[in-house]
Amino acid sequence: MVDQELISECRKGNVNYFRKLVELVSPFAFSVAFRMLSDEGLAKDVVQETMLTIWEKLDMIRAPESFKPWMYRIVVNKCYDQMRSRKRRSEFSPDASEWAVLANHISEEHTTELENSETARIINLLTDRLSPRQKAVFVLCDIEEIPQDEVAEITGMSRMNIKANLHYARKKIGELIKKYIQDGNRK
Amino acid sequence: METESEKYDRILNILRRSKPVLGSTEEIEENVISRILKSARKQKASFNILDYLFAWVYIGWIRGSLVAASVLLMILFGYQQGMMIKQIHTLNDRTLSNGNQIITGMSDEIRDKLLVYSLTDSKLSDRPVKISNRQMRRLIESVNELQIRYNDLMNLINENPELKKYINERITENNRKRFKL
Repeated sequence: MVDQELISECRKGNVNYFRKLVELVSPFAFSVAFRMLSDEGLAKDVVQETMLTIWEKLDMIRAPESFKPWMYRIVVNKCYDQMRSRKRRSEFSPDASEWAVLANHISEEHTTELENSETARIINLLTDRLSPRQKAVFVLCDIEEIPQDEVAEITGMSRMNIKANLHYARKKIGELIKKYIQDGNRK
Repeated sequence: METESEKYDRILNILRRSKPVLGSTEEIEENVISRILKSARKQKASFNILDYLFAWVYIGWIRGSLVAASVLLMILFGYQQGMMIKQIHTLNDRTLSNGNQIITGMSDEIRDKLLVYSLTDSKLSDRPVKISNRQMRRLIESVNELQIRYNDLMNLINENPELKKYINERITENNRKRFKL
């Protein structure tokens, strides 16, 4: 994803190389931020803040392989901050029609990708009752398909903690699916 | 009939397939770069020599403390230098005495030097005489006092003929003894 030359040039303060770096890594940062926050605007803000933090602290990176987990760690921490402030502002309360949309999606054999707004609604429905840690582990392990060792490095949790959080996240989501998505909803 | 885990997997597959699309990478790029350049300009404007000297310290509050400590030390140094210069300027008027040796300042007044010369009856060595203003004042005062006492004594002797006669006899006798006449 990122090579040594790119990191070295950015560390020297070369803005043009940093522009390349932003172009290269911001889609990955956006993917995690969007899936954790289910909000495009907030996810973009997180990406911007992450890029600025990367610029300021790039000296901490020695090898290119450690860049991606480090970047994800920054993204996840910034998402935690956003979640904390959002929780104070408003509570999400899904209605039956939201679940009907999800049931409709899984009933069809979708081959096309969902729009950002649809993805956000589905993730919101499924993960609203998860704690920030459970949400982070669910997004990173199950949706982004990042290996658990790497997730442990990103989140700073132990492997046992990752497993426990993932277990509870899956259990809570399973309960929601069982409750709201009946076979009868399928066409 | 589909199990819960199959439904779960189906939902996960949908979500995995639907990668969020970041439509405006350029917008983010521009915002980030402009913020970087803005903060760089701000840093340049508030360039501080002490911050520059302590740039090797990464932790902000430690750098701040070092800058504050250096400013304090510089003020202390300046104050100390000022005090020392002030003391050096007043050193000329001071006299230090230990035992029989007197360490003095120097008097440059020609009049004072002439007075010392006349009092010592030209018996001074060729060495330069160093004497402080204070010592010079004491010397003048004691000479004046001696002169007054001498005058008083002479008046007293002249007023009393018997005393004058007695003193003259004593002086003659002393001179005779001294020169064994």
